[in-house]
Amino acid sequence: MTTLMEIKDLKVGPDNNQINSILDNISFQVKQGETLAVVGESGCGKSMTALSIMGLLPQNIKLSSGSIIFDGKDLTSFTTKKMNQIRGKDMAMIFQEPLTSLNPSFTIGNQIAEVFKYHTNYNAAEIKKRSIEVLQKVKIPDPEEKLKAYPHELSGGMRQRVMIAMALACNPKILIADEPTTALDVTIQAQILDLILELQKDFNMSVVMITHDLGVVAETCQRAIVMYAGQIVEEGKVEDIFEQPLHPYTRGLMLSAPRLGSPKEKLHVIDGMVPDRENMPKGCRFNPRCEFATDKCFESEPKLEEIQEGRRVRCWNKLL
Amino acid sequence: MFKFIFRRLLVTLPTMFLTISIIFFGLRILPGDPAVAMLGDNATPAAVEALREEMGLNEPLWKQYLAYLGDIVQADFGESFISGESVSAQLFAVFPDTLNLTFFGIIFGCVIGIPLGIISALKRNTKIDNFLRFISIIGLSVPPFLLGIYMILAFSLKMAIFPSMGTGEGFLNQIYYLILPSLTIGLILSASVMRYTRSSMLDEINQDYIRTAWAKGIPEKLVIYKHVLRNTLIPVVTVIGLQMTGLLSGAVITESIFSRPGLGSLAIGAITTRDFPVLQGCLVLFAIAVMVVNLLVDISYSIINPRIRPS
Ligand SMILES: Nc1ncnc2c1ncn2[C@@H]1O[C@H](COP(=O)(O)OP(=O)(O)OP(=O)(O)O)[C@@H](O)[C@H]1O
Ligand SMILES: [Mg+2]
Repeated sequence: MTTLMEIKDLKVGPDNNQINSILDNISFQVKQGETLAVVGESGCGKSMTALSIMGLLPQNIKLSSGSIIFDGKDLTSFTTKKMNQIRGKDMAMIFQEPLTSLNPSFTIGNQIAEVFKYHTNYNAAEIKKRSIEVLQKVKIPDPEEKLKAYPHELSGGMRQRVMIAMALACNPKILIADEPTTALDVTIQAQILDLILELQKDFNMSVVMITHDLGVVAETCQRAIVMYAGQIVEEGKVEDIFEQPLHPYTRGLMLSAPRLGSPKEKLHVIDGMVPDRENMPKGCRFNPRCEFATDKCFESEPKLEEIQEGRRVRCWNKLL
Repeated sequence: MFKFIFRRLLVTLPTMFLTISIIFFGLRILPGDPAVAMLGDNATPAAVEALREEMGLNEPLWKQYLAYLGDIVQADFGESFISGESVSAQLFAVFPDTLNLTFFGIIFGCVIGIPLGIISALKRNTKIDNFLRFISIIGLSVPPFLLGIYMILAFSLKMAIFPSMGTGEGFLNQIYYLILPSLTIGLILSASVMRYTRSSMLDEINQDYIRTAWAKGIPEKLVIYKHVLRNTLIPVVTVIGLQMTGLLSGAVITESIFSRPGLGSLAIGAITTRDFPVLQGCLVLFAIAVMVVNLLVDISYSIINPRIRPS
């Protein structure tokens, strides 16, 4: 598989405080047509990773080093204007908050039309036709009527479908889905995920699926990256990671996920809390919560080490 | 939409009734006898008594009140104690002047305040922003009469660009006479409009849907002037609406500084002479104007904000 996007040594932090970075040397690749999972606890930097790629970091947060190579070009050197030619066209994102991600003051049709207006040469009639088509693609009933609706007239699931329709309007090469179903009902969750996967096949695009739900990872992704406190701690094929997690944190995540068939079993809990950025522990960032920690883990920070092709882990005491 | 307006009007009625009653009783509590005010301090008690009788002031209060209510329903505010002219006629003669002044004041307030607020927000925490915010604090603390006097000093006396008093003749000339007084109101209004625009815009810029707009790759100008601005203006319009009362009273004060006819000049004259019917008329009209404007604000609010648009 060819590499579509390569992220190298990404470092992201608050404007005024580059020492306590939010993302620390994040490196990974996204292959053509694959679904890559990014998992980790709340606050570990999943959304920040996504926003860095899209060039959408909040104003007080800056990318201090690293590169994002997409289609052979480094996006970190792009101006807003140049980014705008790629965003929404070759690279699209759907967000964690479907309820607030559409502008309440404009109709659905108006908001979808914008994408076509700036990335294609369609005239008004073609834009309308294509807008109806994308709404059909994401299985929204009465698409023609819905174009005239305002966001508040649609349910959360419908709004997320509209977001997906907007994201896919120009057949992007890569879709970044930031916890696309977290805010939705369980039944709707499955529908949205199925929809994303189905459309992925149709369009042959790459999907970066950000989630903290291991069920979603198992069902939808080929490869996974596990993040902890702003770092990648493990990477590999999904089946490898599930079968043999190498990092104690990954193992903890696996054990804490509820499984079908063993309902009575008490769930494993990873003790302790994610360290806050101001007080990162010395050595390995996971050491206060790790049951396998040895002296070495408190002294020096392990590197992210490639132990097989495509299998990386950051740990002194890998669970081999 | 029609139903919405109708319903709003119905809600306004009790408020209106209450306001009208308060105006009536409030004026009766005021010290000072209109008959004495008219005849002068040297008048004989008998003469005062006779005049009171003639003016209907000796009737029981509730009778006066009912007569007053009945008249108002017919848009009849009685006759001036002093000139004997119909109050309604006087009101309708000067009201357009006050409206024009307020209207142009709002226009100036928005034309100056909104763009400055946008600049301030887009350049937040830079020198430009700090400077604009400093100026706006001055604007907020200067009373209209003081600014009015300075405007006259600067633009009429020193530079002689604009006239300092009167209303002018003919359409264009009238507008020319309006500029300085409405600019006075507008400048003061623009300070708060600017501050609200700025904070509302900063709020908007961080909304999730603005991030969506960026993610679509639409040009920066469109993100700012379409997606951000539309929602920014919703609270700004509300604030202007809420300030209507203040604006109208600002107009009243400004009128007297610039010696323009209007509701304010009329009311101030009526206060000095205890001319109850005229004063009542001014206050009632003032109250009606405030309520009508609030209704208009609600309507325009629902036009720019689809979430509350009645379907
Ligand atoms: N605007 C901001 N200013 C400063 N710090 C921020 C800001 N937004 C996020 N952070 C910090 O960045 C870190 C990573 O946040 P991020 O949103 O990427 O987490 P996440 O992995 O997406 O979590 P979740 O699963 O809750 O969405 C967090 O520690 C958070 O406190
Ligand atoms: Mg997130």
